[in-house]
Amino acid sequence: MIFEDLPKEIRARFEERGILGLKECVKSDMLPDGTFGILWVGVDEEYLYLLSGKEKRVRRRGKPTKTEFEETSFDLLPIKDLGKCKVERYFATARLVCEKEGEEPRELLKFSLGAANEINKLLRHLGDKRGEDSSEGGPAQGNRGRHGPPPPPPSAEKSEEEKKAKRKSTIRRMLGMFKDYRRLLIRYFIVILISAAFGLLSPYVGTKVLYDNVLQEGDPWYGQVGLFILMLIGVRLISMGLTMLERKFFGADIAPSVTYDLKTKIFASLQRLDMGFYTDKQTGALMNRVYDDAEELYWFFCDILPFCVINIATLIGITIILFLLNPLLAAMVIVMVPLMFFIYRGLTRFFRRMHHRRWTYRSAMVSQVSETVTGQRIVKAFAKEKEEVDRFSAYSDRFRKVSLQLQNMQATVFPAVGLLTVFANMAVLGVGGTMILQDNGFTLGALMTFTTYLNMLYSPIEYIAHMSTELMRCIDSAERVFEIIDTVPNVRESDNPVSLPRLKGDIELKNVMFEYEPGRPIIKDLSLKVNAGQMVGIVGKTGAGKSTIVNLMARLYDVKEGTITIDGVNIKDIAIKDLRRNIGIVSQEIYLFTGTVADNIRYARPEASDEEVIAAAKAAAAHEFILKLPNGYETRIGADGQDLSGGERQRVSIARAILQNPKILILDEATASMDTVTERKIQEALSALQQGRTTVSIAHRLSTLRDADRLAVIEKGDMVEYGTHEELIRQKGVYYKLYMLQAEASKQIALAE
Amino acid sequence: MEQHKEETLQGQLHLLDPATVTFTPTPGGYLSMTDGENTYPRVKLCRALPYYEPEKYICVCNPEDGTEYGMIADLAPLPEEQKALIRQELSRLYFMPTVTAIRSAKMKMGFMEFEVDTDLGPRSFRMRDPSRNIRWLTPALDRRVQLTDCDGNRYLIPDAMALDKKSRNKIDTYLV
Repeated sequence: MIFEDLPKEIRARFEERGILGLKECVKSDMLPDGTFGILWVGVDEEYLYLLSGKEKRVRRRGKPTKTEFEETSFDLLPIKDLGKCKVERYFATARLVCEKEGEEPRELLKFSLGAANEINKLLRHLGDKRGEDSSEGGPAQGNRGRHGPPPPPPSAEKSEEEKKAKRKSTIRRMLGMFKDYRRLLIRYFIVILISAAFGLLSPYVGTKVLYDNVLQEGDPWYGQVGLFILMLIGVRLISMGLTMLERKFFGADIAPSVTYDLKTKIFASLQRLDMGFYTDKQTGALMNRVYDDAEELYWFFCDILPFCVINIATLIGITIILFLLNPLLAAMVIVMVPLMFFIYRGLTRFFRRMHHRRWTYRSAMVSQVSETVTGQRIVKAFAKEKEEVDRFSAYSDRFRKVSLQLQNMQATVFPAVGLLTVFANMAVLGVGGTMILQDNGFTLGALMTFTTYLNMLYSPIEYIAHMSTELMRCIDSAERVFEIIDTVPNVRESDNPVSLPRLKGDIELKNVMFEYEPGRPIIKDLSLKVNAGQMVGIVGKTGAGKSTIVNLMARLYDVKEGTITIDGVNIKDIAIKDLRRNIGIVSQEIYLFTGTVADNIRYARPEASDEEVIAAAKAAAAHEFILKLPNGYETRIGADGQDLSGGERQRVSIARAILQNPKILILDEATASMDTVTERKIQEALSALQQGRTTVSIAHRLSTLRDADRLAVIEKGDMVEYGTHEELIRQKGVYYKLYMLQAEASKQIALAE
Repeated sequence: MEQHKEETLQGQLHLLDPATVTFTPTPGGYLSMTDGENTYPRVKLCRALPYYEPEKYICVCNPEDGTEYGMIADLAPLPEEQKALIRQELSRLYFMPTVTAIRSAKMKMGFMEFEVDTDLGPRSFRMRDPSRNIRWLTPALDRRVQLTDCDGNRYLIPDAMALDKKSRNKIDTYLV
């Protein structure tokens, strides 16, 4: 009933002490004496409980490994004696400190940064407790009673068993994806199986038949050399045809459709995710996922899976043939299989490490080159050419050494392993030769065939040994892909979305709290009302939370506490499509897609006519510079096209927002990289457009906001001042100071000019 | 000219005079500082060169906003009891477990999962992008290696060459 993820045995330990009403219980990772260990910290109405101990892996025969908790001490502290609790972060650890009014703070517990989120959950309850004490029936009322709300799902830590189960289900899911390409793959499979069978057959024909039939006096086939050669050519032709068919199936059918399909699937699930996911993971890592992981999965389907099956089948086939040819020799040889397997696997791992090191050194060298080339101006300015050459030669020397080492290893290890197979062949020839001389039915042809098959045995073993590590990599990729597919976006449409095709534009924020990472609120308890048709300017220092506020209004993120309503409807209930269509954002980071200028402006409304596009560009004061471009509105911009300056890019993105014609326009430092003259021009155009439209504008330059109806001054996530320009000047507060500072600066510029 | 430049640069450092500065512990385990007639009820210490000059260039800051009150150029001239106090505070702030052996390090799900022995007991953690988070401090100077896990916890290997061969092999390829 309490928390789904509190282990039974831990709960039992609390219960046997008569503690039944835990509101929260979290796992921390350091003991009070500062060593690593497990500390369960529980909290109920009156006490904070500390249960410390160690986790021990218990291995029992026949059962999966289990972790068991071994208790070392138990302690409890009355909450009312604690006072105000807070988390202090240091460089490598953090601690929970409590501070009672009028007393010095004291340390309650230490923990590593990883446990900070868990401890913060606790903090909320300690905070709630205090709130209830001072004002009965406060905002914490909903959480009262014996049991708190269920905590979020358990963190990343998982037991061995779960991991294994996960691996298994991943493989199952991968095979499930196989269903989509079943027809293609089965056809491919059949072809390569037949081709492998022919591969198995050809030594039999080529050797056994030659020695034991064609060259054997008294055999019906004796002397039929011509026929034999024709037969050989036939076999070769068929297997060549099969190989060609195999290539065609693979290259033309499977490869394109599987990769295309997988990449589209992953890309589509990426688009589904909310902004939070994108800020958590680096963009580069995301791209890797789309490309590399799809590629890995593709190898799984098209390379690993079929060839594993074929190699295993070949291995079995050869083994059977060997036993049929001569059971005694076969038994002798088969002992070698596991030995070879482990040797090959060891070698694969060893050389992979060597290659990886070579790769690391190489990329260090390459990045030094690019660093120096990009920073050439600085290198020259400080006359450091020689030092850079020395630095490069050190990197390059190290790379040379490791490459040489790798070459040497390859040159010695592989012949040595080859020698092993030679020894095996010698042994077979020795024993087999003796058998032939003893004349117990073993023929020369059979011996020759035997050695041929023996030599064919090594490559599947090598392949399988190599694959066992490769397969792990594919499973990893698949897990990552499934992780993306399975991620439930935090910002999602409510089950019964309210359709608001045309908004009025009243925005209200009520007691909004927001944090990107737990424990570090960016917005604390902020309330703000913007009436339809008004223009509100948001002013504040960098990092005060201005951009976060507008991101919340556009619902790129969801608030942690409090509500945001538009036209009186909670934005969580508004259909996302309607919301986004009615809110236009011009943000400080401008992203232009690859395409023409016109395409970029039209991104918001693809059906807009050419006149509308040009009108929007005019309104954004972009028309003139666009005409100066070599191809006018058809000039290609973006990743592979013409470079635009910062101000020009901003103007294109403003044109994009104007064309969208939203009821709510958000300008986040939209004119920051323009000169004041251009800015003034755009403002005039914008203020004409602002009629009947709600505008929220963030600006550093206060002159940008001179037309604002109201100004909100934000400091450290709180709104400290709100009012018209005149009111705020009269208040002589933060705004006044900022304004005077900037006025001073412009006065000085005016004097200088 | 050169002399003059030196002086202006020196003037940038607001050095605290070891003769007038006194630190006293507060009951809550923090430090307060008096410098002549100025008293600072709570100060935060910060090393400018935490690894190579741990006892020099200690900045004394405001714990709330981080503004610097001044810098202690060197601990050496301070009285022993003051030194001990500062060392204790610094060791709390710069606490970092030392890795003595690496039991296992495997790539899983794009993370490297570590199981290590530290001076504070066994520990397991995950690391993102090992080529960036397994680093020599300064390979030209010594063999110290720093590991940073995905929560931002840091671990120190005092001498990578002194690790046993098995442990070393696990991180070797990432050390550039």
